[in-house]
Amino acid sequence: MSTARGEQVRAPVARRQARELARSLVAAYRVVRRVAASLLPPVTLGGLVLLLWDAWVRLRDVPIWLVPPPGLVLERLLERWQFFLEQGYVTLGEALVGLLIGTLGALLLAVAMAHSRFLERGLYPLAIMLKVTPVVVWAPLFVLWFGFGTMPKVFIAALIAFFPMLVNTVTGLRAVPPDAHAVFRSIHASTAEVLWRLRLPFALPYLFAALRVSALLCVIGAVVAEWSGADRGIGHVIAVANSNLDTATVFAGIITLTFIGAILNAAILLLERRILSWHDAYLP
Amino acid sequence: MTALLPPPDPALARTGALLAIRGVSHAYGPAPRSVSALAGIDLALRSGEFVSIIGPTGCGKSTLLRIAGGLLPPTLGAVSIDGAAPDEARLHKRIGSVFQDPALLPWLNVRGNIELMARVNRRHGPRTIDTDALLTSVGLSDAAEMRPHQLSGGMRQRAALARAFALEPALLLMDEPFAALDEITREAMRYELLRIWERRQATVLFVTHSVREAVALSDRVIVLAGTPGQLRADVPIDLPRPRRHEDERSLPFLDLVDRLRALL
Ligand SMILES: Nc1ncnc2c1ncn2[C@@H]1O[C@H](COP(=O)(O)OP(=O)(O)OP(=O)(O)O)[C@@H](O)[C@H]1O
Ligand SMILES: [Mg+2]
Repeated sequence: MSTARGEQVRAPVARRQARELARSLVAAYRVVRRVAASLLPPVTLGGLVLLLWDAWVRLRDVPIWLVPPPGLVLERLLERWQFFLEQGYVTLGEALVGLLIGTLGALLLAVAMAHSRFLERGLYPLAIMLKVTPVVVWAPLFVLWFGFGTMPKVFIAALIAFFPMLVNTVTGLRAVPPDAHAVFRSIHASTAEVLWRLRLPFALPYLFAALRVSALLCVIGAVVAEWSGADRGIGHVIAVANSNLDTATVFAGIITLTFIGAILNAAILLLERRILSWHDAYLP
Repeated sequence: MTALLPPPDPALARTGALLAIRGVSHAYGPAPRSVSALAGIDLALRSGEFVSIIGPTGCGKSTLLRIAGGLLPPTLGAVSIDGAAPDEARLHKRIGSVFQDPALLPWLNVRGNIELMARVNRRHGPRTIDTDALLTSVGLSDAAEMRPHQLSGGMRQRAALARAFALEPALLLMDEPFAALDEITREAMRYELLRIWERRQATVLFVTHSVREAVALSDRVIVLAGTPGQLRADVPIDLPRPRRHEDERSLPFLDLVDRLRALL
């Protein structure tokens, strides 16, 4: 009797497993289709640009050291793919650590500034000074101060990530709906509770918008810093190739940077979708 | 009696009123250019009383409510809630509030929004909330796990109502809570509010622009008018309870509505 019931129970289990498998297959197909759909526009347009570029170089007989044909760039990229991967990895690492430091610094300062008009007024000029001075000015100084190692690259990347994060986070931390704030105040929520349970969550959409900007700026920061003094990284590779009139390598470096940017952008979008599902629901 | 809110005035505490507002005036902004919003308001609510405030726009109704709840220190005068200063009442979570905006947190579901009331300032007030009973009483028992964006405007305001009652507050402050709802929902919400209020025994101060709403709900209607706002009238509503929607067509009801309209 008990076995009979066991059989009865097992059959629906098998059916449920089959249903789950089918469901995950459908989900996987949807993901593949979405990725393919999102790749279609850049691949089409990119292909078109490459064709025009190739035609132009061939028809006008442009010398290789001025503008290389796309085929040559691709060849360079494929024949030294390991090299570009390694160098790109170095640059990506510097940019990411810089982004982390810049973001954390901006968050801490933004929290302080959102709570105190005095700090806000006192610190904005400093932030503006950091922002109006181009990285190409800071980069050699940082190399001078921190040497040729990883440090100055990370710091430049952090510096360039800092400002957008700061400004957006301060705005976001103040963007709490007044009535929600009043509900919190009416039960005597502490400043920390208001920050943690109200201000930070409401600031998240602002934070992610800034993160998307900062993540790409960080790569620029790392590259410029490498350009000013380094023995590795894409910035260094491009600088050396540039002085050797090796334009194919320069373009291969640019393509590597594009991949880095695309990866960062996609990672942040993914994270945003995870964390901000409630915010997506607002959108039409 | 300054803006710093002194310890509760013994004279106020002795009145026995649940909410006592005495000699309250308020001006926004620094002295020379300040905007006077309220002048010399005296008002006392007995425990369990339902009092509405009506008055033209800008006469200081929201200001008075914010002062009563301790969210805004008055320029002059004092407030006491059950014999204590409003800050004390806030600390012990004796005040519930509902505004025109439901102000639900969009990343929490309805249950999370209600239970948050116990999590914030957790050293005071009830530790646990009977969310299911609350949701049943506002007719949202099927929506407990839904996020605010999945709810209609009326459902959101019901959730805000449940949240306001979650901590069994002694005083409930409501600032035009039904103003953004369509008329049918709005009328239904009146009687839902009354049913919850009759069961849960809170003292309510309710701001509205609708005279009918004020009469249907209240034991007393306060008319506030002028700039700065002053008490114009204090009209008792001697209609029997429990009240029903049909009563809004009765002669005494219409009579009271007419009398109050004349005062506005
Ligand atoms: N934060 C503020 N700063 C300066 N003045 C304010 C502020 N809040 C309100 N006032 C002024 O105080 C007066 C009373 O405002 P209040 O919001 O209390 O009116 P109300 O009766 O609630 O109006 P409504 O019916 O439109 O909601 C108005 O003249 C308004 O301009
Ligand atoms: Mg108002």
